[in-house]
Amino acid sequence: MIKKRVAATVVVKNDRVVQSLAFKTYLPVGSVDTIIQNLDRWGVDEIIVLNIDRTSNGLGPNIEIVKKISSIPISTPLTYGGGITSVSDAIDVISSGAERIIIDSLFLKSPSDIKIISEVIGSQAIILSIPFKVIDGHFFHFNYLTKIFTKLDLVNIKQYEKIISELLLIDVDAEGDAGSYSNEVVEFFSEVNIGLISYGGVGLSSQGSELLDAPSVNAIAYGNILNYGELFFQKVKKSLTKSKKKLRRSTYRDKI
Amino acid sequence: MEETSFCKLCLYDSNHPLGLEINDEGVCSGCLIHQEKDNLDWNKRWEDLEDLIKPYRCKQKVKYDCIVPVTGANDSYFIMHLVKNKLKLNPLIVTYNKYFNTPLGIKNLANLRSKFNVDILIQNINPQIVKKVTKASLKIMGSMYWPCIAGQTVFPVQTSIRYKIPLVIWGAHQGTEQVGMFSHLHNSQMTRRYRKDHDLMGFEADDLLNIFNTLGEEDICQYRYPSDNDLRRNSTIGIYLSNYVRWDPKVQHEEMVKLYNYESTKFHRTFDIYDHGDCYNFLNIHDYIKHIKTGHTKVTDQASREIRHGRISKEEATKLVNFYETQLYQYDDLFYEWLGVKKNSFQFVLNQFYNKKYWLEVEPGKWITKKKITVVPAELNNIYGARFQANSSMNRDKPSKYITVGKGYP
Amino acid sequence: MTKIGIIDYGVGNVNSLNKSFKSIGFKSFKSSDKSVLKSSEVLVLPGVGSFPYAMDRLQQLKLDNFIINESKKNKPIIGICLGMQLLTDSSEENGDHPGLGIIPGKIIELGNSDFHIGWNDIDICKELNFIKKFNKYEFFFNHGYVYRGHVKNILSKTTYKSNYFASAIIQKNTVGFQFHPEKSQKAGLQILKSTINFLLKSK
Repeated sequence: MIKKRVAATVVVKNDRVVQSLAFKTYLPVGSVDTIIQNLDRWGVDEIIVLNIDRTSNGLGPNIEIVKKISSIPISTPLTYGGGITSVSDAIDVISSGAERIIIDSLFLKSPSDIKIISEVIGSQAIILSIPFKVIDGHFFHFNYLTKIFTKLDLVNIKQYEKIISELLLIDVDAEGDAGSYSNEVVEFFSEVNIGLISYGGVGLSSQGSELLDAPSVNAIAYGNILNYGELFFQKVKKSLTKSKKKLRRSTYRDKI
Repeated sequence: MEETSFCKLCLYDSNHPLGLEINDEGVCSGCLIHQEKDNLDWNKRWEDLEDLIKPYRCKQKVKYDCIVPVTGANDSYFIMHLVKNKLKLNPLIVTYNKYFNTPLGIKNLANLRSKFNVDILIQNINPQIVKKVTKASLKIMGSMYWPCIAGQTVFPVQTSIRYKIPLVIWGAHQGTEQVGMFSHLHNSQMTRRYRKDHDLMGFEADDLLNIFNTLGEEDICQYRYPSDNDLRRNSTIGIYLSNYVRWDPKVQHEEMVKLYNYESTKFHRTFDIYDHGDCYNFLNIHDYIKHIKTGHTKVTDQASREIRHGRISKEEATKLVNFYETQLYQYDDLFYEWLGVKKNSFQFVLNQFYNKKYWLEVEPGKWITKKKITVVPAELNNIYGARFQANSSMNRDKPSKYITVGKGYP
Repeated sequence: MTKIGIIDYGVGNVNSLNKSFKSIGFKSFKSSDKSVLKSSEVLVLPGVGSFPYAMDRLQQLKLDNFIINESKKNKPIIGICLGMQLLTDSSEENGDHPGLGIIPGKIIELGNSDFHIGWNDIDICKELNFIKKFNKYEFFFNHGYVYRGHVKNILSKTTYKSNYFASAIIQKNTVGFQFHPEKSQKAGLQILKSTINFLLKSK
């Protein structure tokens, strides 16, 4: 039976890993390869790299970093997002060592490119990132470049059901505040037949398990918290006691 | 993305070796997190600490509640004071012999053990091996201190596993205190990742093995971190008191001088008198090497700390740093003798590590700093001399010589 | 030391695979040059992408016939993920497209706009020593199309939503993995090692 995934998110800014709090405050954490090597050793289900200052600086994807990560080497599935705005960008990222890509501004600026990208790298490799905000029970799509939020248009997203394989639903305000993820967003997306990944303030124990209970949620992702202590990935997974049967068992490396 | 940005409050810039984020208001992550020190409810934080360590208090069965890593300097006294007197725990204290020991450091360490009435474990790695590893780390990363930091950060963890004492209590979390890597509220704990990334400059023991043919398993095994499985089985956890206590080294040290007669000393390369008096090299040649590699010095850390505590202005701090950074290091002759190298071959190795961002080679092997220095030395006593008055000295009136610890028969 | 030749046709991450083989003690290289690939003892066909795009790339580089000919000469071949699918007769992804026809069977849609993404376990279907120890081990999958073929070609099956499909297939000394062994941590590296050793012995 397929297991649900607990992914590790790594936010990269200026080629270094940072803590990202509510898309506003950034705290320095360390170097990309040391952190990802550590996550690989911990046996996380998936590594998601979010390079947040590429498109805003007019840069394409951070191919150097994808290659660097592959050279560590790692044997954990790698998903990369940041600066992918063309078909060749997508191909470059996959060829450099990522299994899947995340797109954000491309969906807002040039959505017709997405189908072309899916014909080359396959839909299974494409994740659409949807940073969202909840205001008075209404859901808004947050454009991280313009900082403007518009009402979330599910009809538009539904068109991509065969073209993209998963949606990364990021709770912007909750990011960095474990336990404050707006679980209601899952219900809101129920009419869209695309698998979901929840990220941004996802809580441990019951909140995380509640998300994993939803059939449409394939994965939950933790970011900042994984840097707070030793073997924290395994601790986080262990706390999701209600979801034990749905998840891969944790591993602990014996040798160095 | 290459441009350097500066914090408007302290002396740090975006090139800080630990990383630094500067927000849209020009305030760095270090200053931002420091503000928590004035806003947090420290009584609540202390309660959180008590709750955290409660399960580790031993009943009668085992002797030690926790492990406390110490040196003959830095926050060791204050940590012991909190652990024994406030938390009422029974610690096993551990220390790694770095070999560059000053009479001051040995005196302070002996005094610590005796005043706090505790058992101490001292790790002495075969000096021949330490010298071998030191030479290797100099060649690969221009560091003469790698074995010291590697030993200091791993011996307590190894001891935790070997003696089955899960709780390791550290003092200040350097990343949080300097660059705001974590909020105090993140309750960050000791990790192998942090050690590799920020203490060991990206090189663990086995990484050295893979690079050098001259180093063998027997040379680096003592510096190797326990496996994840060992850590899990023992439930080893490392906590930082600076997350739960309003950390202010100057104030803390002054109290330790009063209560326990902690001894301090003047330094050439900084105004501070309390930290690193136990080592002939940390604030001398090692600090100079840091300067050439990263453009960053210990006095910058200490001056920024004093700015954040509101005891000094940025202007005054800048003058202090400009003066102290340019002072020459001492006692390097002891180091060359210990390592068995000549001064000029040492300089030759160092030559390749000068960071051209901060240094200009005016002639082969001769470098000058690109930084503009304008300072009038006489002003310094007015700024800070009175506030840091040493009560002792590194040599304690003995000849300058590394104090041998645990050698056995002289 | 055994030389593994990874076919570099611009589709999929050959660098990861290269590093993986090195980490389990094999000498490996990546190339799109037929004469260089010929010198390998085992050929590996990776793939992350869509079937028609990948076949097109192979055809452009004239590697399609090369692989078929090498197979006829009994060169051991391992196909990974899309690479496995390319080894079969055909696929219905984005239209009807022929494959290399080395392993009989075809590739069909998983159905309902579904994707099989994540870690899943494999049920070994053949009494072969090199693979039976991996029964119930978990590997990382990432696909929306699956193999449909004869039981004799199925090495392992995997369950998805009360249905199952082939997670590994075999025809003589050609093996295909639907999952990514190079990204399945310890189990993945072990199964790669075991498979290569098996293929080399049965030459």
